[in-house]
Amino acid sequence: MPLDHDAITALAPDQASLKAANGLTKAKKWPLRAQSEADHLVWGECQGSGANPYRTVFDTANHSYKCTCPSRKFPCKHVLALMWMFADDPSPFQPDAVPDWVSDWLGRRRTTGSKPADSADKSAVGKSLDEARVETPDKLTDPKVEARRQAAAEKRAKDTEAALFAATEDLQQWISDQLRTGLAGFLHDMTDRCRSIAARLVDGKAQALAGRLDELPAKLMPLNAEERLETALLELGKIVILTKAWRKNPSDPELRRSVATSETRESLFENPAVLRVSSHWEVIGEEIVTRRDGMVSQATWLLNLGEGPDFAVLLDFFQASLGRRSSAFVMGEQFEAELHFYPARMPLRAILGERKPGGSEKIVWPSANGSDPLTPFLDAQDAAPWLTRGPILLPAGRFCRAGTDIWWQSADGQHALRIVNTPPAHVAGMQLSSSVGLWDGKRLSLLGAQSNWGRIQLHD
Amino acid sequence: MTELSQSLEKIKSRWMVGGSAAEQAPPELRVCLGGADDPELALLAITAQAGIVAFRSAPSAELTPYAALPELPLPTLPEQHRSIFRRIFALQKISNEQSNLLLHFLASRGYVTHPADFMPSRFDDLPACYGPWNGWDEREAVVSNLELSEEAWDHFLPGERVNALFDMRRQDAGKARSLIEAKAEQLPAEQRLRVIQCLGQNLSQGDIPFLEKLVGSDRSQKVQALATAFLARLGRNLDEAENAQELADFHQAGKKGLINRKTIVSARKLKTAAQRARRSELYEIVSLPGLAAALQMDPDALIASWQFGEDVMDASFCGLVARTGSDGQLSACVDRVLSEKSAAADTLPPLLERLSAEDRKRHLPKILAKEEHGFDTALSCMHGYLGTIGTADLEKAPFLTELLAAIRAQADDEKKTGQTALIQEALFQLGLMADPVAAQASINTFLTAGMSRADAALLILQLNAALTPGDPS
Repeated sequence: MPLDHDAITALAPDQASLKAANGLTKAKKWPLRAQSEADHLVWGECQGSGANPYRTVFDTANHSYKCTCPSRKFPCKHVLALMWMFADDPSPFQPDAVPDWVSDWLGRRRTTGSKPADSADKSAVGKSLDEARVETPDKLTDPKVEARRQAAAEKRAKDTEAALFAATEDLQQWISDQLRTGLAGFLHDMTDRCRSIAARLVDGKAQALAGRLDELPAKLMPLNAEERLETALLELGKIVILTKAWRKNPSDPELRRSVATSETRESLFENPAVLRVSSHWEVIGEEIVTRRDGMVSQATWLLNLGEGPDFAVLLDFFQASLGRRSSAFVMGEQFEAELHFYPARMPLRAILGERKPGGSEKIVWPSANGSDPLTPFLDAQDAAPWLTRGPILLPAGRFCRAGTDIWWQSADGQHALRIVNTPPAHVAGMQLSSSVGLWDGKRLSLLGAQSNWGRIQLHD
Repeated sequence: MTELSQSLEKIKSRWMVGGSAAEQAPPELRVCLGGADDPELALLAITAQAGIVAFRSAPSAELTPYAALPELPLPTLPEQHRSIFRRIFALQKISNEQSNLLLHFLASRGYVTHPADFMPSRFDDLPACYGPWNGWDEREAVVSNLELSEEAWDHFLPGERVNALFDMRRQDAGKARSLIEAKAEQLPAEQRLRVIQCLGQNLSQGDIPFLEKLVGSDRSQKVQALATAFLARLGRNLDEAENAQELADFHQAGKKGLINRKTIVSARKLKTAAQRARRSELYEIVSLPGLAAALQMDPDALIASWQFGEDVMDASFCGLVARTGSDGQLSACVDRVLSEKSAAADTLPPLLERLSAEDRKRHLPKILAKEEHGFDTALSCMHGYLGTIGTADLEKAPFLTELLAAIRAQADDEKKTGQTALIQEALFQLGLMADPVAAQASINTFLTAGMSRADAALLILQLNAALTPGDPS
């Protein structure tokens, strides 16, 4: 992805950061500005309020960054300012050898979350970029220690599975109790009841289910009474399907991910069986949700412009207390990359593998298949009935009113889907040649569309 | 399907109040549930799944498509320039007036904004090309091809009528007057005033009967005052002798020069605020011919004799000429302001409003060379042809030197932020006025002076430099 103003704007955590960065884009503030084109690195030293300048570095290839300032915003204003100046005019950035602190950061970044680094070697002086990039071989371990470690891991896995079985049984009983005692009471007291069962599920190591139950009241609260009951039944019913399916096949990675926790990124990269799809992708929308547990989930939806699954979603979680984290993408951006999909019956969640710089030619969207735009959703329900919603590609259509509700209607008038996110009046007046949205079985949340006014963003 | 739907409703109702709902399930489902570990949970799973795969919600009322957003007569900003346009709004506090000017600038280059980047909410002061977006979703007919007439009057929005009437006055002043005469009476006072202002375009003797009728019978004092001012421009004697004499008494006529004894008229120094307030009030109601007559002078002679040098009085006098002077008197007054060193440029805007774009364009180099503390007058002079000043004219502007000094001072000392607002405002105005070559030259000059290329204040100049007139490539 080229480092342009749109990319920098998208990276900024908020408007205030961009404004603050703008104030730092003056050469006098930066005693040092340098780059290594071969290493895709740009760094600088910014004179802050302290005695020492802040050291700031970013990678022009993937826009990762680091700054020594104490800001809790990511990226901070220094990173944004440095990117901004570089995007505007790279000529004042002198070509230079990568300094130690940059190599150090690079080394830590490349080894984070993987195998432990050799601390003795790493603390040595004379570090270089080449050294930082060298993969450190595993330490040789004592076979007895390794056997004990494996035995302990197996025991932990068994204990976890037992805890999960107990937790899911507890959850099923809890759902039965809600039906027996009446959903009217549940809807009246759902916050406390969901909080209580979610806490028990956390104790039972079923974090994913716990998060889902914890979020249920927030999902139901904005709805009217009729929709609230419908959605509560739908959500509880889906949880029943999920828990029943998992209890029958506890080793299924897709089901386990929905009940407990996800696989690590590293395990996905190392697993040769995962689906890898190299294609051109378009960033179609982003959903950022702050959860009750203090975490923020950031979902970036991608439309496949080539062969393979029609869509992918990149899911990230981070602490809400850190402020809004940067998005590595600009809405509508197209890029070529290999995605590694989490194993699933209908592969959707993925992580970004190798990414290539995108060409300037825009690739047109694929056409919506079949006569019924909901067919892919229904197929997904047949394969994985525990799924609650999925992305769909819609054919030509338009916005319509029905009372106070807004609907998407296909151009031939054959299909109509109720829309969650009301577009501004001038957007509602556009003719849509193709749209992408998330369908939950009842309502459509539109992400982006191609229209007679070009590509428009409907949710970002 | 209806049977299943009814059964599901009964099941939900049962769960709502509590208890087992298995008995409410259709017989074929009950058979399946018999083999389940927990029939109630199995029924819940089936109910949930049926809700999203077996049924689709239908609209509660007939679907009404939204009216299509009309295309505008100009193309939208080219894709590659939209990002910088969006950043202008994202990084700067843009007032309504500035956003209007920006849209006027785009229109003068042959473009309109993309609705997804910026959708105007008010259209009164926007270029006429935005007319189709004004109330587009509430109107059935698009008036772009409709000609304003008595029959079509109600199909036009107030702003569109004014634009159409101005055009009609240029083509056929009598026809426009007849239309205004027929329809203005039905309008509320504010709209009536705007419609009657159109008579200022190509004002002629033929308008006198209608104007006299307005002075005698219109319900709005503002409309009466406007009609009176128009009559004064046409040289009609008004019943204002008493007020004119009172205003004249606030002035004094004298002689200046040793050899060529030239008559000069200047304002007396007044002692009290009440006197000054009364004089200001009189300037709003007395006409130029009336004041001249009270001073026993010809209006042309009064303009030639006015002693410039006192900004407040000069502004009042120029306002008087702009309101009630004939076209020739107006032009003479503009020439005097531009030629008098002691006359401030900011007395010009009311006079310039009455000049044609060509006349304003002719005066622009002199205005630029005269304006020392800003570009306000030059900008108001450029209405209708923004983005056309060349480098040669710009370089003569004394304010550019002042601006450069402020930029250098700020670049030399970051703590000197007192001039930031001035710099931002001036660069915004410059960005609207310069042609692409001058805009690029200005950017280079400011960068050399120490400004950062990434400074948001340069955005409008950058957009200007990148946007080739009428070339959507």
